[in-house]
Amino acid sequence: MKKIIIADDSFFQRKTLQDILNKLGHESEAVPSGEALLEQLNDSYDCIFLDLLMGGMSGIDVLKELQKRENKIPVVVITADIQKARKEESLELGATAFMNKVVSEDELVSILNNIFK
Amino acid sequence: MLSAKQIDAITEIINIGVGKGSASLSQMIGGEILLNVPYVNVITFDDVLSEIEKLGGGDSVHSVEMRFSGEYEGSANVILPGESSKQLASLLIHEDPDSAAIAEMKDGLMIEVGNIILNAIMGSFGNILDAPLEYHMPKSYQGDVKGIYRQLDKDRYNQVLVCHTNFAIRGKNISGDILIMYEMGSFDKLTDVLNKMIEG
Repeated sequence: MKKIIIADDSFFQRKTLQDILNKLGHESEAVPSGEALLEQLNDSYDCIFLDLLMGGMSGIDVLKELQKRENKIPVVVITADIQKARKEESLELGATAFMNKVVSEDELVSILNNIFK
Repeated sequence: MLSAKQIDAITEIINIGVGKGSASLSQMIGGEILLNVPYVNVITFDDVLSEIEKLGGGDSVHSVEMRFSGEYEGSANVILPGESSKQLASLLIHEDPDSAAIAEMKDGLMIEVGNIILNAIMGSFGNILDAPLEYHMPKSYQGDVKGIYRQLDKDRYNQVLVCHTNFAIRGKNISGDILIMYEMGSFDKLTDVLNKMIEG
């Protein structure tokens, strides 16, 4: 069982991801903003799920801040933005993986298996 | 004016994006989305109102606008009749359309639906034309369909390239429109790129 924190400003996406993670036997917590994520983040988490387009701090801002903090927790960007440029930017800023919404359970299992193999 | 070939090219680009967006929406609701071929035209800003008035919903619409900037600038909108937005929210969170939960969460749900559909369309556009776009936070609006026009930044637009399509959910009384407007400066760049694509 892994402990995963989700940052997404959409209630629907937070709930959808938490439902899938719970079904897979993982523990999850969810916050509605980048600021809340950075405030709550500590070494007890095994993975971060991060939305990009959020009010206040964007996901890109969060990735930059995590780089400054020398974050070692894997970050999975989960976004509706399907642009190649955004994927490249996210990976350059330290994201471990990049997924497009709407995320399926199979995709999530595959990503988590890759991260925790 | 756009040539027939330019219109064909941009229709196809929008079609690809709408296809991706509808696949995502289909996954969210577990239902089939029915699509129409996009309509693409260049009109003056004065004609935008009549374009908007053609949309369904009349005096009760729920729309989500996402402005975009970068190589191309403009406004992308998903517009649903008010009743359709309630029914769609109900499908998403499995609550009665007239429940307090839907009343409370409908706006956030529509913003997320708009976010996913419009990102798919504009992202495909940016990818195919190799022109990354920056997105502004999606904004929602509920009210008279003409209010969408009143919310537009009129100083930004002169001639407008409009792309319009609509969708419906099979077996449900849910439909919506997608309306994308590019401002004039973007339009010039866009026609150059389309010509290069057409000429190979």
